[in-house]
Amino acid sequence: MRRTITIGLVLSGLALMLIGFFTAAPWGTDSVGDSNPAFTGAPMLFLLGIVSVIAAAVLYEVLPDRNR
Amino acid sequence: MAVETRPDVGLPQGVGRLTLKWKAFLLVALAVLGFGLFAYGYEQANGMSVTSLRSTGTMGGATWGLYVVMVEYFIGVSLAGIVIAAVSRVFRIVELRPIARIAELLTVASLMVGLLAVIIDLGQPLRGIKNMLLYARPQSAFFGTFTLVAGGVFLSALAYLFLGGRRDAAELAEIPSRLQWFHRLWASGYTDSVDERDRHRRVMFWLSVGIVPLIVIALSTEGLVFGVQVGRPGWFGSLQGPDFLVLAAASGLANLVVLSAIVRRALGDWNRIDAAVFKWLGRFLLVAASAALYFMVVELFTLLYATPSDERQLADALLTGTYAWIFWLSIGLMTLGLGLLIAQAASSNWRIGTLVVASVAISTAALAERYLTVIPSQTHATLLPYDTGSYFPNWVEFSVVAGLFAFGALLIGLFMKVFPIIPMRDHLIPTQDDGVEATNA
Repeated sequence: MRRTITIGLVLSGLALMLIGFFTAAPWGTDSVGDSNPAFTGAPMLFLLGIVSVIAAAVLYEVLPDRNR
Repeated sequence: MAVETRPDVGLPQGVGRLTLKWKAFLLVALAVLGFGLFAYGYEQANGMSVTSLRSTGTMGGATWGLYVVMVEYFIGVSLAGIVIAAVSRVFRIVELRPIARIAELLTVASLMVGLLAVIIDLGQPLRGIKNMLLYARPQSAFFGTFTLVAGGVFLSALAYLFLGGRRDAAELAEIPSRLQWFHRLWASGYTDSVDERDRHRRVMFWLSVGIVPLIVIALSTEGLVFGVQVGRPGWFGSLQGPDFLVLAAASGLANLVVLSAIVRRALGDWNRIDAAVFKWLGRFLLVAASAALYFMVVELFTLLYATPSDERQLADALLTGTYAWIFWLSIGLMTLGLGLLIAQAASSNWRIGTLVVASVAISTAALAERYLTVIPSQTHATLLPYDTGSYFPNWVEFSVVAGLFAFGALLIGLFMKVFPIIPMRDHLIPTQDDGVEATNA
């Protein structure tokens, strides 16, 4: 369970970072007047991805043993 | 009976005990912080025009002033702490273990202060943060800096500090005191079982392995904020990233030396920081300061050698003009610090007092160097046909920055009263699996 949660958090964190990174780019436009991210809020996804990966390390250590 | 009337008497390293000296420190720090808050309130109420900050070019000033200088300085200082903690674990440098928590704390405190300086520099902080989360481009060096430093390095350092302290917290939670609830909370169920120790070792190792590249990337992007700006003579260049890292290492190590010396003195009988720690720090500082001086000279040479007129104008401002006193002060202090370190290394006699003097000189030189990185390129040698500008911080900026220093000192001072700043298991011996293990004293 501990391992599943940790791996899940790390993978979802990396996925969020990738999605955040690529959806933040203004694809399909060359105009400097339209430099907003393709998806508003994409930078927050990137940040949440970082938080998720670090939280995985903390949870891996802090989660109590099943037999406690 | 004594334990019942003074419940915190059993806690180690003066935790929970408020001495007269500590109260005096608290009073001074709170007074400086209070004045800094007053200055910031004045700035917020009347707008940033009460500072010396002005638009570049049209108003002949600098939009990035002392606050941005402090951002660069404090974020730089944060580097050494966490790297020393990580390196001591990965390379099993037992001598550095007693200052691992001081190093982590220095990172957390300097990052908090550095990030506060970013927020203070914004005229409308809430709007800035909201817009960054909604519209910023992760491809931008600015965003990379803020997310990697604020999100990545800061949270990693907090995780490091928290996880590294659980074992001590579990021990302290057994001692009746007013802080028992806090220690129980920090311990978060830690029982020091074999499984928990194994997990802790694994997590700390991988955190250490992950945090070093993370901080190198984060701090390189900090340098790239300047290095990718083509339109500013003195900023654009591939050396900004590595230069930022090297100067960060020097200033961070210098601050770590000073803080370790202060803690050593403050703890008195509880002190476990011996001369070997300072010997290691002195050697690291010698390497970092040498590299920092090398970068300063290389950059100056590049600026002087067959450069376009704008770059030459900037070089003149640094060498003989408005900023000459800061430039030569910086070079002089860095050389002084380096000289003291070389003298100690040559004699193999590392004196803590001399090391502290060298560290203060190097840290001040680094601060001056940060000032020279940020300011002159805005006031001098702009590529557009503007007159030469000027900038020098006024009382509002100095007061706010003094408040930031006081806030950082308060964070560290308060921490020392709620938790042992030196890991309690101080008798460290090598073991087969980890390389270092602490025996229960």
